[in-house]
Amino acid sequence: MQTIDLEELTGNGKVHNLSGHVRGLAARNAFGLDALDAAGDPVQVIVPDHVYSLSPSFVQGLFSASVKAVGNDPSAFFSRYLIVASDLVRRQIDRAMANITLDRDLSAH
Amino acid sequence: MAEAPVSSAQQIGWVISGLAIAASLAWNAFNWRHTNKKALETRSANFKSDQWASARARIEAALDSFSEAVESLLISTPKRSDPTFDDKFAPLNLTLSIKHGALSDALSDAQKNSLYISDRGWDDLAYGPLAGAETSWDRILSALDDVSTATNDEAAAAALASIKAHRAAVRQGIVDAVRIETGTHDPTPLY
Repeated sequence: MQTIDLEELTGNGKVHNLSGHVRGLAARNAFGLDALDAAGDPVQVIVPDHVYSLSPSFVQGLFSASVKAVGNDPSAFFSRYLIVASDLVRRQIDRAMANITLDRDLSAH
Repeated sequence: MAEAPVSSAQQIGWVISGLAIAASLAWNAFNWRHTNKKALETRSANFKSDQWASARARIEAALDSFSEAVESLLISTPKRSDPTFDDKFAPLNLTLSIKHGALSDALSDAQKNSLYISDRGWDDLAYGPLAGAETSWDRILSALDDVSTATNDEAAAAALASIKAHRAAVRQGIVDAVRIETGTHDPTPLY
């Protein structure tokens, strides 16, 4: 199983928050999510405990295309992308997922 | 013994009495239906108002907690060069994230209660207005990271100070939406 560890974005643990649509898209490119979507294999996504916030626009930049790739179906997305995160961050991802599936892009202006 | 003939005056009296009784019954029936309809409308309005009052109380409490968490972070964050910075700043950041999560939940529940509360895009209000491609919440998070990664006290202080304006932007959007929604539940509008 492929693994994406968001620890790589935290500057050795100095950064506690990941925000911004552009940074989400940059992370998507850095982790090669388009290729992972095409491969169709399960992917483990690790959000370290010292990350306290993922903003909806960051999550949209990171995962929006992957959700669309599985038919805009959150349960299909979560069965492919296994999120390992605190409850706090998991709820933030769930809220962002609602925006993705409703096509409400908070940064699309 | 032969019965006395009914006079015309008596007949007219009976007809009038009958009409009066029929009119009274019709009026009572109309009144009963009208009163029931009004009572139902009042109960519905009260129920809707109660639903909003409950959602409003939760939103305002969560908003106050969020604002206090920002204030606490602004006041309690030590200088970046302080050796205790990391130990003190991380819990303040975590508390702010938790409080913002509670605010998001309260607003999201208001959005789901669309039968009784108008759709004002409550979900998105937790993140504040867009400036460029980023919401106020994005900018708060970005500023928090800038504080953490700053290489000197001045840069950290500047990043920290910027949070206040973004907090105000989040707060104002929610306060405005709450005020407008409350106006729709006012039983005595000014117009």
